[in-house]
Amino acid sequence: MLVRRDAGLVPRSSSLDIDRLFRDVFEDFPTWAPAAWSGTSKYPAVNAWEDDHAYHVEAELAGFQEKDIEITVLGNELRISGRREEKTEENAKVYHRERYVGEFSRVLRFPVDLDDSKVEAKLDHGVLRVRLPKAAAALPRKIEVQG
Amino acid sequence: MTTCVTCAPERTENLEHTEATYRPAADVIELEGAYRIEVELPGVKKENVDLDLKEDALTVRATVEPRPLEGTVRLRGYGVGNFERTFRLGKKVNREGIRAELAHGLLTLHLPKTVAAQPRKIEIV
Repeated sequence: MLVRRDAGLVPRSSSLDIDRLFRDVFEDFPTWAPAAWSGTSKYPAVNAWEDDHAYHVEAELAGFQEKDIEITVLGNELRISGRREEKTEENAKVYHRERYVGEFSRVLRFPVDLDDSKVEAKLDHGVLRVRLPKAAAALPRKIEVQG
Repeated sequence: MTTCVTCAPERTENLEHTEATYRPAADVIELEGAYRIEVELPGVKKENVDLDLKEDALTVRATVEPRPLEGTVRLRGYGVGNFERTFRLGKKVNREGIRAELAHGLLTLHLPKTVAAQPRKIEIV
């Protein structure tokens, strides 16, 4: 699987106030998403959770292989994109369709920056799991009280 | 040829219910000599799938190993639980020839048509 690190494609917004940052936690990318990050699909469905050091994202992508999926991390955003090609057979008729077909691109935004050099992604029996360590600057630091 | 019989909730329901059984998403495709059903069973290994044909009802049951979310849950888009779905087969399906394979969490069922249901090309002499 391709884990790609992007740098400098999109100007980082520094004008967001704190309230907004927290409200946006884990929401999909807002509508002003620049072209390079235009993905806003609701597919795949994801579960996400957090521990002290990292965020974790799980997505169900049945039938997909590593080569079909791309994971990109930029700043505090994760993009999962890919494509499911339909099998083309002569005289095939789709009787009933529920499975997702075509391209998808889903972007998740986190409240803090991610350490893009330590992102781990694994696809196992159609379940994608991504571990996104928080950037060192985002980790809590204990401040000693001087006596 | 098939009616998809609902026997479990959608994956987006019962999210907090750890014992829930879910209805997997499926496509049904008709080919010239067969039908193909593709059933999404993410996280399922071959040894945990059970296929059962009783009269006209073909039932897929899959056991999913729990995948706990350790820490603080921030987003819940689906529930993790076992899968179950029944497909009702019509007269055109040759019961003896049904085959199944599981790869990357996708179960593919091949259901050949009976000879009578197959298109026959008539040669003009």
